Formats: sequence, C-alpha cells, structure tokens
Amino acid sequence: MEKIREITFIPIAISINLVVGGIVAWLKLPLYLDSIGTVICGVLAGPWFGALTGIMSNLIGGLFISPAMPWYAGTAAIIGLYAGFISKIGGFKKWYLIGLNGIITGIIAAIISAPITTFVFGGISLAGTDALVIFFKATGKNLLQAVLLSGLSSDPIDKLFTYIFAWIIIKRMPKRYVQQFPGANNL
Amino acid sequence: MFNNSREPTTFSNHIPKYKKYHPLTKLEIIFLFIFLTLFIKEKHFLFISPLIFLILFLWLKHTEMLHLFLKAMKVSFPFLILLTILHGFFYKEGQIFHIGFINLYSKGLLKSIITFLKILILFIGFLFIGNAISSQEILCLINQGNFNPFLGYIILSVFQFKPIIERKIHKIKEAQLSRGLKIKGNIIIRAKAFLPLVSPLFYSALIETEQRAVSLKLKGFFFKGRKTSIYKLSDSKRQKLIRKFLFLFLLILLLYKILTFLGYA
Repeated sequence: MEKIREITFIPIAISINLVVGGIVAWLKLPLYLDSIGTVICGVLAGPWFGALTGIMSNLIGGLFISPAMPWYAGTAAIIGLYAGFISKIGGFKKWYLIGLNGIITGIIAAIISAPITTFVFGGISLAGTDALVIFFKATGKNLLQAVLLSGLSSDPIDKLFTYIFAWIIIKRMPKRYVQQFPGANNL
Repeated sequence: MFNNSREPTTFSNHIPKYKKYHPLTKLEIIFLFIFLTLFIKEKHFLFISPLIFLILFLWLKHTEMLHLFLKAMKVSFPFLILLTILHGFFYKEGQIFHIGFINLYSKGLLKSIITFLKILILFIGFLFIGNAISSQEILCLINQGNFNPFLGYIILSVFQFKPIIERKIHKIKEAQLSRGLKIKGNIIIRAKAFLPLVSPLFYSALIETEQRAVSLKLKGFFFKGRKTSIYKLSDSKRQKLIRKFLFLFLLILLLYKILTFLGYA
C-alpha cells in the first residue's frame, strides 16, 4: 500500500486540530485556527486526505469539544479539499498566493457554514462570533444575512492566519520527512 | 486476618445496560437523536416534545444513564440557558414586557424553548455516544462489516493520540516558557508565541508518522483476507428486534421529513 504514510498522518493531524483550540484559548487569541491540521494534511498528503481529515476532525470533535462540530463536517471537508487542490496548482509557492487562498477559503467556509448555523442552531453556535450575529441582526438584516455577515467578517481572517501558520510550519519541517509526502513537490 | 473471603474491593464487574447494546443498535439510537432534532417541524415538535421527553426519561432511567445525564447537565446548563436568552434577541414579534433595554418577545421565547429542547435531545445523544460506544466496538464492527480497515485505524488512533498530544503540549509549554517565550502582551506577541508551541507538535507528528507506517507495514495492516479478533460482539434476538423497530421508525421520520419538505405536512 503506497498511501500508508498519508493514512498514518491523518489521525495525528486530527488530534492536532482538536487540541490546538486549547493553545489558542491559552494565548487568548481571537481566532480558532482549528483547521491547521486539515490544511497541512491537504497540502502534504493531497486533497482527499485533507477532506477526510476535516470530516473526521469535526465528527470526532463532536465527542470532545462541542456537539455542534459534526454539523460543520462538510465545511471542514471543503477546507481540506481546497488546500490540497490549490497547493497542487502552485498556490503554496508564493506568500501572496497563500494569503489570498486563505481569505478565499474563509469566504467559502462562511458561505457554507451560514445556512447550517441559521437553520440547525437558529443563528447561535456558541462560538465567539455570536455577538457579531446579534450586532448584524440589530442593523436590520435577517438571520441568514446576519450569520453570513458575521462569518464573512471573522472566517477570512481566521483562515488567512491558518494558511500563514500552516505554510511557516511546513517550511520549517525537516526536508527528509516532508519529501516522503506527495505534496512536497508542490511547495 | 485472611480468612475472610469477602474482602472489601473497589472492583465491580457490573456493566451498565447502555453499554450492553450491539454497536449497530447504538448507531441507530444516535441517528434517532439526530433525526428527532433536525427533521421535526417546530410546530409539531412543541406538540410532541412532552412524549419525547417522557420516553427519554424512562430510557435514561432504564439504561442507568440518568445519573450521567444529571452530572453533565450541571456543567452544561449555564450554556443552554445563555443560548436560550440569546435567542430572545432574534425574533422581535409580540412583545410580552420590557424593563429598560431588556425586551421579551413571545416569538423569541417560543423559539428559545424549542431550541433548548432540541439541544437537550442532541445533548443526550452525544452523552450516549461518549459513554456507550467504545473504540474496540467500532473497530470490530468495521472489520466484521468488511469496511476499509484504515477507517477503523483513523478513529482508534485519534482516541490514542489525543491524550498523548495533550501531554506533549504541556511539555512544550513548560519547555518554551523556561526558554523565555513571551505569552503575555499585545496580540502580536501572543500570535508569535503560537508557532513555537505548535511547530514542535507537527515535527514530532512526522517522526511518529514514519514509525507508525513501518509498524503497520510489519503488522500486515493491509493484508487482504479474513482477520481474527480477540474481541467478539454480542448480539441477541431482542437486539435484532429493537434494531428493526428503530430502523422502521427512522424510515418514518425520513418520510415525514420528505413530506414536510414538499409541503404535504
């Protein structure tokens, strides 16, 4: 089986996704950064492995972190897929492309997540952006618009930093190990 | 001194009833929780919720999960209340009363109650997943069901890795702080501290990946053929009957969802 290294990397990336929230909270950063493992796995192992990491992170995160997480498994899958595909076409070769793709990922994530937050959770996901939803609702927007706007004002920043941190981490990784992954040639 | 055969011991071989279900029965119960929260229309939900909660209460009591539920509720109740209050801000129809800037609307209140009840059902569902399903069962089910073995490996490994990585983070924190890592100050200082804390995790993860890959190859993980397992799943006629009944009920809920979606209910 050729893909054994990618398969063994997935559970580690999932575990990192799940515990990185603790570090972010400890540093009191106004970000989530909980898809950093998904992005790194997507870039190194490929889009499908990235998508699988995203889905499994959110499904298993439902047991450890929040019951709301499994509903966003689709969003996480798209984040992993996008990171994998974009690195394949050279999106991780220049710093400005990384920033741009981070922002695009954030916009896509906000668009996919908004209907879930609205129709499943009634606009409240118990995340830090709930205050933004209330703010946009108070400006006269309907619930879906308020949730979408709150997502668009927070997700692109979060994913921008996720991509930047992911890129720095990959660049600092020992070449001997990185070369064993198929995505090493795309960096 | 040793002639008493009934010495006090902390060991108990009592297995709670909720753990004795077949994993497929457990999965169907989880789907039932998800369908109940997602599929039932709000106006219908409010009407049948007393019946749902009566059945849930009896089930929790029968399966010896009630104490677990009450214990978990002690922690989660403030969040649920917060969620309920926040909902009141969204639906501004039919004002009941207002004190200063605080307004209570009838639509908001109704929406809050429905959301509270739905999350409570989902909460019981996740409590059941967390306590009743063991990783051994999942792996055994995946192997017996001829699924791809690496799916079982991923699920099991996360359960193993998570505590290991948490311990590693603790060590990294201690090490980096002793080396003079600044974690207090403005947002840039705190953001800069993120990388020295997370990067070592990924580097050690890569080394771990290599070791795991070698050991999986040696253990014949991708061996094509029937594998034996020391762990056996127990099943019974009663369990099979419960599964059939649950499956039928899930189908009815699915049909109901389709009908409501098409505007027939």
